[in-house]
Amino acid sequence: MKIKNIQFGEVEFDDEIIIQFPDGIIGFEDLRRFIIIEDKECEPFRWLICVDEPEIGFAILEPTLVVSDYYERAGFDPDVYALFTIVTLNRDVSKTSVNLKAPIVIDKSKKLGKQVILEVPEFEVVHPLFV
Amino acid sequence: MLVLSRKVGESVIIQGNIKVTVLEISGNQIKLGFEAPSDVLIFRQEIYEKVVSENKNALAVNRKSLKDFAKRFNVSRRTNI
Repeated sequence: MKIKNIQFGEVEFDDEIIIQFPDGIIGFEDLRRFIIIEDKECEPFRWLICVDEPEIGFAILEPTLVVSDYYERAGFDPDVYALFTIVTLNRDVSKTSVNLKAPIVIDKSKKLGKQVILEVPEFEVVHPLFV
Repeated sequence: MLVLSRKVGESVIIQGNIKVTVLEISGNQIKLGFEAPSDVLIFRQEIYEKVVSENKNALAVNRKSLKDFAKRFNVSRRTNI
């Protein structure tokens, strides 16, 4: 399949990498299919791009780079699930943050994704990357 | 808005498959229990709204900004380790 995005141009990919989000993303319940794009120039950040609305893309990050025991504290088995935290860039770099409270959870074998809200009080929606 | 009075231990049923039970009242706090199919999403309103607004802020990141930020992020990680 092929999609077109202003920032990436044409992106061609195998349909097998599409992750279904039956509930969408919180606040964007109609967006049901996403792909994760690796971007050498932006490592370790990756992109979560909506296949149905290719201009919609989130920068995502492995949460373990922020909180090393994140999987354990969030209660997800890393063998089954891949977790990503959504990054909110800010012109003021010190205000760039990640959403540790509501990660993207992907069932790796089923290729199913969901944004969940964790019942972990110390994880915040706006967690600055530079403290 | 539909208004119903319930005592502790009493429930309401929504759509035949969602049950909300009043579990405990103490002062101005009420504990509610939810029984619903797993595809029903239940959130605390203020957290839900915060996540929606943060998702909107995060959407449509500029690639060049992310590239610049990634550089700084990688430098700070190296210095931290």
